[in-house]
Amino acid sequence: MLHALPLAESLAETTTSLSGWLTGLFSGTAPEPGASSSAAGIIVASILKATVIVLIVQIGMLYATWGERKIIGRMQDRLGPNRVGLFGLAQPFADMIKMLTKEDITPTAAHKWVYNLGAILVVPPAIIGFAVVALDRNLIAADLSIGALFFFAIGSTAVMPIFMAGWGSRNKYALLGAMRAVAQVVSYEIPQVLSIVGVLLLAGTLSMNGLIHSQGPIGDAFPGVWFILLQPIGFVIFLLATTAEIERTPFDIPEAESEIIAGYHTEYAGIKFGLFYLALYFVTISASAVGAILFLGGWQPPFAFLAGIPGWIWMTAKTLALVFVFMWLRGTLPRLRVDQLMAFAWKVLVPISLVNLMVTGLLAKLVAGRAPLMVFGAFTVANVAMVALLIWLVAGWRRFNAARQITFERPAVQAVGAALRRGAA
Amino acid sequence: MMEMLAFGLVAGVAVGGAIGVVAARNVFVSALWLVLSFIGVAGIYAILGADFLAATQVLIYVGAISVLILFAVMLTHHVMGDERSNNRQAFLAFIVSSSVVAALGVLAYRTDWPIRPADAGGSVVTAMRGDPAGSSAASAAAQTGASTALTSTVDLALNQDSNVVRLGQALMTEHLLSFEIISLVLLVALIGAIVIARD
Amino acid sequence: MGENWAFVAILTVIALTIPILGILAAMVLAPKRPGAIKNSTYECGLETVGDAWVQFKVQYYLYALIFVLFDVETVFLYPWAVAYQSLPLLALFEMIIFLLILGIGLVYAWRKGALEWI
Repeated sequence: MLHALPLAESLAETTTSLSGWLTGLFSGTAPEPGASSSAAGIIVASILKATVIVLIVQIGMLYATWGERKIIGRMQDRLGPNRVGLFGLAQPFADMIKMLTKEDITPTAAHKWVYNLGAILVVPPAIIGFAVVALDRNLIAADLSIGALFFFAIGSTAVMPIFMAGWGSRNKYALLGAMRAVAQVVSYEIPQVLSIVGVLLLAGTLSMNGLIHSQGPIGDAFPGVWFILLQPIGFVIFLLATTAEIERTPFDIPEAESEIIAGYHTEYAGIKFGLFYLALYFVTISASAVGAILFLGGWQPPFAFLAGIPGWIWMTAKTLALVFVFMWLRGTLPRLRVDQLMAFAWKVLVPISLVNLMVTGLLAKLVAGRAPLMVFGAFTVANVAMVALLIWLVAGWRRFNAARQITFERPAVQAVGAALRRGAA
Repeated sequence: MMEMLAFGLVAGVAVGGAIGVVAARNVFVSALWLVLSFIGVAGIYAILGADFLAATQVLIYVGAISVLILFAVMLTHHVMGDERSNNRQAFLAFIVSSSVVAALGVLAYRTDWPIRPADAGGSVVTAMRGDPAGSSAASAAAQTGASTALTSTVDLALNQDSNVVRLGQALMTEHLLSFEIISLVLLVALIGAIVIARD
Repeated sequence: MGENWAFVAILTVIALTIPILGILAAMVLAPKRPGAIKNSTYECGLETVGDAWVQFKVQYYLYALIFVLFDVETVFLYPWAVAYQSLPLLALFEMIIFLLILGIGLVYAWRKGALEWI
């Protein structure tokens, strides 16, 4: 079947040999393995790689904003931006120019250093997260052996700039918004990490390339199927937790315009506000990429006969699919109230992910080393059982709540009302 | 040489952050300098090759403990003001602390630190390098011959040699009791903090 | 492995320059007309009431604390998960004990109302 797609094949080969050449270039001046490359070589290679990453991500982000406005517009039965350029494709540039030319209004009461640093430091964690994203077999900027952990560690440092922005503005509402945002981000980090431990169990490695290799069909590692099929609950929890981490609707209380003005970035104007916006989209893209790596198989094709199509096309398609899912959630769901949000994280997501983790651990030991189909079958049975249990629990809770209302709360309310009427009469 | 430079830079960040903690006028800003110091320490771990520890340092210290410290600072202070602590004993404190630092420095300099010879860490570098010449040859082979052998001959060798695996094994076998006791310690800390905070 | 970390360090430096470049560009391009009212703190268009000091709720501290504990727990989960396939079945039960003990902590916090927002 590989011969059936000659164009795709030669594309694949070109990419592989190009990436091989680039890898050779990036290893500095050492042509043979085992020799350490010179420091200057490493530095030059790193600067090149970093520049490429920043350029690609920047363009991706610009068109992600365009895409978001178009997609949400269509979901709301209206056209998105379509004035600036054909189909509104130059809209991001217009936005950028607008932000650069707006006056930078700094409140006099603000603590200058912390205020400015807060805006500046939002962006680096978002960009550094891209260091471990694998675009293709050899196109990963830094294949750290702890890739997944690195990504979540950098993500957890994103909390600091939020706090700095809120405090540095010297505005009650900004500070309140910042504390709420920090509490939200922090609460959802736990389900996010717990949901992927199941994936790590099955793959046995933290490195991004290793995770992709174990999702088959290229490479014969265990288990050889995409992890979304084995851990659908984990995938859903990861999606929800990540939506809350990047503060998108329905979890966007920190920046809810109707509630707390603009939360921790109330006092930022022009480009500094633009930096928060930039960081938001960077993280959306990198979180989608990491979700694609962890659950959707990264640059692996779904079936072996499609291996002719180069890996980076698969990876890009999967990342864009997840970005679309984030936008879809935004266009569809209403905003959660802040206490609902926190309760959801701690009382629902954490217990579910803990149970999922324990069941996955048990199953992983039982099906160790078997064929992919059998692994898939065993896990599907377990997942269906867990979802059924969850539905049963939710139904039982709702019945309990309704019963409590009928037996306790409504009579109590009626009695109070009757007493008040007697007292007034 | 490059390692000395890198170490100097990272250690400078760690120490500079620590100095900033003490020198800042505002409690909140002190806490922020502390965060910088944590990042410096993470860099030191990375240079020493303990990458898991470096990432954990960032995750726990910068991500969790700094948040806790900042929340605690805001709980107890009128945070917006600039405060200078009134220390009339500044001179005496300076003398005491510099003598302690001097004593520690001399002690650290004079101690005979046992240095373990480098492990099989070199294999990691060779494994990571990949093989540019080999990959193009292997892709040609894949094109003509193997329609079913979708093995990873064209890939960079995976970075499999990681301390995390050995750490996990050690945790579960040699240090199992400490591991379980850690969970009890965490439980006790949680209960204690809730009890105190609720009053 | 050292090259990867060197790359991360260089990426950090470059990532820091991006927002700085943006701000510099804005300093050149944007108008500057400061005014007393424009620069005052924003409070829905009204005058600010009282000093900018927020009545702090202990709730935030409790959330951060529970988060620290669970974060440490996840740090232990990572090496266990990665080494899992080379460990005996007993390791699973050891970890389940660990998770259950912390689960008890979560249930305690839940019952004591430490997880309520108010």
